[in-house]
Amino acid sequence: MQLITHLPGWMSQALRFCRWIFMEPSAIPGSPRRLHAAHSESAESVEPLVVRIYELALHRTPSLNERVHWTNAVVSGQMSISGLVNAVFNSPEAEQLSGSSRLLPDVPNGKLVQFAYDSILGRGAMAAEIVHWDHRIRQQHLGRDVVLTSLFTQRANEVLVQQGPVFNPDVCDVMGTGRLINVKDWQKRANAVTEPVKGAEPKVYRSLAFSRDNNEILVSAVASLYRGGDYIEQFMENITSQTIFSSCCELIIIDADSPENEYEVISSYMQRFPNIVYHRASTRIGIYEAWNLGVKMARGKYVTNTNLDDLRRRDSFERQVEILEKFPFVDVAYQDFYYSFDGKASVAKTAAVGVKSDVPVITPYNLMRSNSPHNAPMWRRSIHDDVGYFDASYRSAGDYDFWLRCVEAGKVFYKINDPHVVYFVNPEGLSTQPNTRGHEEGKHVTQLHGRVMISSRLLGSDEDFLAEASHAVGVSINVSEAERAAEDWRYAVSQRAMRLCSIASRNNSAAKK
Amino acid sequence: MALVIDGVFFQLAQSGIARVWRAVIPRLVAELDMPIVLLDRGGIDMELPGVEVVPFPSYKSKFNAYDSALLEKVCRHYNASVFASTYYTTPLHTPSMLLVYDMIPERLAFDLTLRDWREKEIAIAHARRHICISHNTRKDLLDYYPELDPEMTTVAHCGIEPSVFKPADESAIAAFRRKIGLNRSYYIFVGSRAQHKNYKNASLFFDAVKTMRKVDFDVLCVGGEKNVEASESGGHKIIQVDLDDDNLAIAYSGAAALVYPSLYEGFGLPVAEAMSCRCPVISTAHGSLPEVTGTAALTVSGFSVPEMVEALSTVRQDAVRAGLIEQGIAQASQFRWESFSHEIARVAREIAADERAGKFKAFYDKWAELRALQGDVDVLA
Repeated sequence: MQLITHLPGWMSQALRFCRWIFMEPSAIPGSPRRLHAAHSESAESVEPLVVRIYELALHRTPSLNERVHWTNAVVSGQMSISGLVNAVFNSPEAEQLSGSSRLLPDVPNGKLVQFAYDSILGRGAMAAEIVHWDHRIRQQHLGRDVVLTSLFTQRANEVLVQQGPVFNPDVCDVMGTGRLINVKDWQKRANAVTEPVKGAEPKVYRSLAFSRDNNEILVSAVASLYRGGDYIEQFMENITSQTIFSSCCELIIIDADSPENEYEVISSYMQRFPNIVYHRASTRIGIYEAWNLGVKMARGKYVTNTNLDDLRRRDSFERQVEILEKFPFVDVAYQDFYYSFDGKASVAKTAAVGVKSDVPVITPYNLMRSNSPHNAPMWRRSIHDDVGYFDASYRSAGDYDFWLRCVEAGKVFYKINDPHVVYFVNPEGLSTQPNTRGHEEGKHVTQLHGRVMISSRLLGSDEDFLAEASHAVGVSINVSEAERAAEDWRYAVSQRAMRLCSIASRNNSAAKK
Repeated sequence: MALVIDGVFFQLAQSGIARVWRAVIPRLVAELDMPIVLLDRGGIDMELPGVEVVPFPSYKSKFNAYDSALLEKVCRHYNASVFASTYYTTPLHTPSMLLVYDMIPERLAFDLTLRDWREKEIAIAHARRHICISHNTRKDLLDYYPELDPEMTTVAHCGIEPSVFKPADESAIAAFRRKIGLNRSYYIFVGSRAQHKNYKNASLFFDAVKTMRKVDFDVLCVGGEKNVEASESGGHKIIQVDLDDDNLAIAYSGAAALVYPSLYEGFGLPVAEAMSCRCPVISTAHGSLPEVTGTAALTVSGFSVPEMVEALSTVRQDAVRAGLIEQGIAQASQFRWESFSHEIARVAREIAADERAGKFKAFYDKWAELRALQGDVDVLA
């Protein structure tokens, strides 16, 4: 360590960093033995060190000449490793670089990264991305300009070279599982399902039984209709056969001036079910305008959106209502769901195929990554009083935007584990294709809400975070450099604060005894 | 004023811990004069008269601060004064009691930065009372958490169901043998045979069998991994089955011995259950095992293959066997779910009384603030 203490502070730090990041990554803050020993080692051991010092100091690899020059200098004993570090870190090139890494020195890394995503990529930075870049800037001495260049290159590739993600309508991400399902595999599993199909039986809880004998409308199911001719019969049958449809539900169909004369089918159901409301708009209106119209017409305590090509198990409404009736603190009931690549497969068959989501408890950060409640949720109509309606300027991300607004307003989501709905992977769907309006809308939504939802505890400086955690627990929390080297060090510090809080509480009670 | 139990463990596995709660919950209904609510995240399929079972979103090893916030909302809905998790989940303000099963991850140096182990630390810190399932677990808990008040950290040994774990009659054993395909002496091995750091030490048993020139017995593995070790040249069978408790009791009753060479246990239920079925036990003196075996098991070090070979032979000597069986029956009779549940109920009542007296408010107010802070910096995706 003698070697290190004679150097200027910043350089000692760089040197310590070199040692553990390159020489002994598993031994933080291990012994520096190899650093000293390097004097007597061969070119094979010195050369990688030269490369690593270049990467750290200059963010590039050395040329062949440079590599040979420095390696020889060290191996022949003309220069010590500390001299090498000194020379490279103090080179004009390094000074120029460090100037660019001081870009906006008063703005914390997190805020700068978020702003960079926002302005360069046109989307919100995910919480994990912010932490990842912050980690690289702090721990790998990455210049801030490198972050900007990297994002700029990504954007230029998307726009100029069109190397964005490739959209494949036959493959779908199974939400919350990290797995993909493709149409071929799904079909293979479907072919293996033997008749008669035994779908998963509903899981019924006695504790959730609710009364429905007064004539109150509990559920308003809202459907936007446009070019739904292929599905209308199946849809009407599916909704009207819901276990609680006749007793406490209404179906509101907003026909967005569809040219396929679905009304013929609808009217036959209307004769049998007086609780179907049909409204035809005089012009082609968007899906969210239709939903808003439906919500405003709704008389039910709860609202659910029903897509024409999605399917629900017979007890689907009942499962959702019972949660909302049971727990007044719940604002939105959502659920896991089955995936189907066959728009005509029954719920039972799709359940037997068994490809299902595993969506999480909703958090602001995970909702920014994935619209988990999107499929057939049911919500309290009253939340529109606080949160407003769907933003009708969107074509496909209006519900996503709405759920994000709900989270921002502190609304409570409750997941039903029993998958009682089927999501049809529609190859015509436009919501996720790159360079489409749907894709751009999704980006815009994360941009808009990321600005509000990403906590200042993540965006702010290390010092501010430590001060806040220390203040909350009432003692000063110190964090070593080694601890800070972990990407999730703020999480670990919060954990330590909780442990300290627990320790203090027990001392207090012991003192009282 | 209610006890809310998070049945999260039933979603994760149906192993020993689930067995503990399956035994305890119905007895708590009788013991406690407070409503009991059980949150079903999946995997709960038993009838529980007197318990309000409600569904709750399934657990993932992430987003934990938000899981806590939702648990707190449910606790408030039921006006809960005590919360107990079957694993390591926590609410915010509702005081919790924690059943501590073992300190295996801490003792065996697992990676404690993994989210589930971090949650274990959170659960221990959140709880106002800790009930350990053995004295050894309690000792380990106090070693790792010296801030805990020893007086508030109690022990309740797990129990067994004597109506289930009882010696089976000869005809039942014969029928079981026919069904499984066992027609000579067999040893029984229960539970997982491969785990992180191999602390169950199954390999000692199988290595011992491999070194034996003459193998005149078979091996029955109950539960655990479906793939069994190859029997190699011994000519013996190694059979894996999953059994319900009634059949497990028959399997114990017919076995030459239960082989349980574990290097660490929080309790060791199979040992007590086997003894209760007149099944001799070969075990070690590690972790909690001496508390469960008393002097009623053939004890090995857990590190020596020749010693295990010898124990496998000794346990089948008539006099040894008879002695172990008699002592085992007496030893097993000490473990009853009634006394276990009694302790849980006592602690629950104490927490409820302290909660009513406002004893925990200052702590949990601060705690909730810190858990929210943690949620704000949780980027695990």
